[in-house]
Amino acid sequence: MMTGNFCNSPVYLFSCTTSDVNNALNATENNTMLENMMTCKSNLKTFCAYEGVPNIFSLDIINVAEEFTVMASDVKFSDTTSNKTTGANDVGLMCFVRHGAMPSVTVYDYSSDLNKAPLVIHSPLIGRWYITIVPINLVNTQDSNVTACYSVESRMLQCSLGKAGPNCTMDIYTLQVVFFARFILPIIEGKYTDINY
Amino acid sequence: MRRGPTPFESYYLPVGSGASYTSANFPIETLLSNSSYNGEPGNIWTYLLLDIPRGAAGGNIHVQLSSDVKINYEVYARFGGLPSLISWDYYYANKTRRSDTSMFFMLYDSSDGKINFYIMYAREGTWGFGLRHLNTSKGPTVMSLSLERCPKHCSSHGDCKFSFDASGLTSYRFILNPLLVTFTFRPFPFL
Repeated sequence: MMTGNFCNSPVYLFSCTTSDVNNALNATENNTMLENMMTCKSNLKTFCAYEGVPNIFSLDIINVAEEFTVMASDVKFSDTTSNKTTGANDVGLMCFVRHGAMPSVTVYDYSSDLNKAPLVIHSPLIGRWYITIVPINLVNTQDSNVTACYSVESRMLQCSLGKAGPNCTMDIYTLQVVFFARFILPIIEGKYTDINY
Repeated sequence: MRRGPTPFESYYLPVGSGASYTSANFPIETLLSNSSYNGEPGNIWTYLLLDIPRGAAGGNIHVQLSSDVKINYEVYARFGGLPSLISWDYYYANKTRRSDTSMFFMLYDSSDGKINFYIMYAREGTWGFGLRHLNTSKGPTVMSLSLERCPKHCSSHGDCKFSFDASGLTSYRFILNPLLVTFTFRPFPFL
C-alpha cells in the first residue's frame, strides 16, 4: 500500500505471529493459560529516515485485545556520506498512533517517544491502526545526511477464550442473536395486517 | 387491532454460557465465574460482546437490567472494544452519574431496581459492554440486550413502519432467514 502526495510513501503492514518470547514471560507470571502474546512486525527488519520524515505502518486488530504496545529497538545514527553507524541515545523517535485513519503530528490518538519508552495502549479498539514514526533531534549532529535507523515491532496481548480484563481474570461472553417463537407467532396466528411493508 | 411484537427486534444472549434461555432475559449472576470474585468490589467486571451486522445500522440497542432490590451493577458501553472506567462511549451508574441524554443516548424509567436505556443509531460492528459489579448482589438481576427499530415502541405515538426494511431486506437475509420464510407465505395464508 502506498500513500502521500505522490503515492510514493509505502505503508508497511504489520503481520502478527504468536510470540515465543512471550511463553517465557507468561511462565514467570504464572498465567500461561490465560494470556496470549502476539508479536507483530513488518517483513523489513530495519527502517531509516531523515529528521522529520515519517515512516508509516499499519496493523489490523481483529479481536478484542487487552493491550497493544509499539516498541523500537536498535536505534542508530546512520551517516550516508561516511557510511558510519553510531548509537543514538539522544535521538527522538516520535510515534503517533491513530485508529482508523492516518495520524499526523497534530492529529493522533496516542503518541510517545519510542526511544525513551514503548507506547502502550490499553483496550485498543478493533479495526485498522496507523502508526507513524518520525525521527527528531538528529540536527544536533550538524550533519544533514544523517538518518535514524531502527527496528520496530508491536506486541498484542490477548486473553484466552472467555477471559478479558487486566491479567485476564474477568469473564467475557460473545452474545448471539436469538429469535423467540413469539416474534413469529403473530403471523402464524393469522394477524397478517400486523406486518407493515 | 392487536399489534404483535415488531419483527425486526433481535435479542442477544450469552448462548454458549451453558444455560438455556426461554426468554430474552438472562441472569447476570450465572455469568460470573468464581475466579472473578477474587477482585475488590468495583474491580470485578463481566464483559459482553455483541455484533451489529452490516446492513443493520439505524437500529437501536436496548439495554435493560432489573432486580427486585437495588441494582448492584454499573453498565458501560464502548464501540469497537471493551469499556473501562476511563474509556467508554455511554454509561449508566445511577440516576445522577451517567451519560447525558442526547439523540444518541435515551433513558427510560430507570430506578433503583431498573436500568433502561437505548443507544440510538448504533454503529455497525462490535460493541463491548462492561458490567461493573459494585458488591455482592443481594438479589438476582436479569439483563436483556436487543436491537430494535423503534425505541419504547414509539412511546405510543403512532406505529413503527418498516418501509426502510422492505427495501433493505437483502441486508437482513442472513440474520432473519426464518422470518423471511414466514413472510413468503404471508400472501397465501391458506396454502
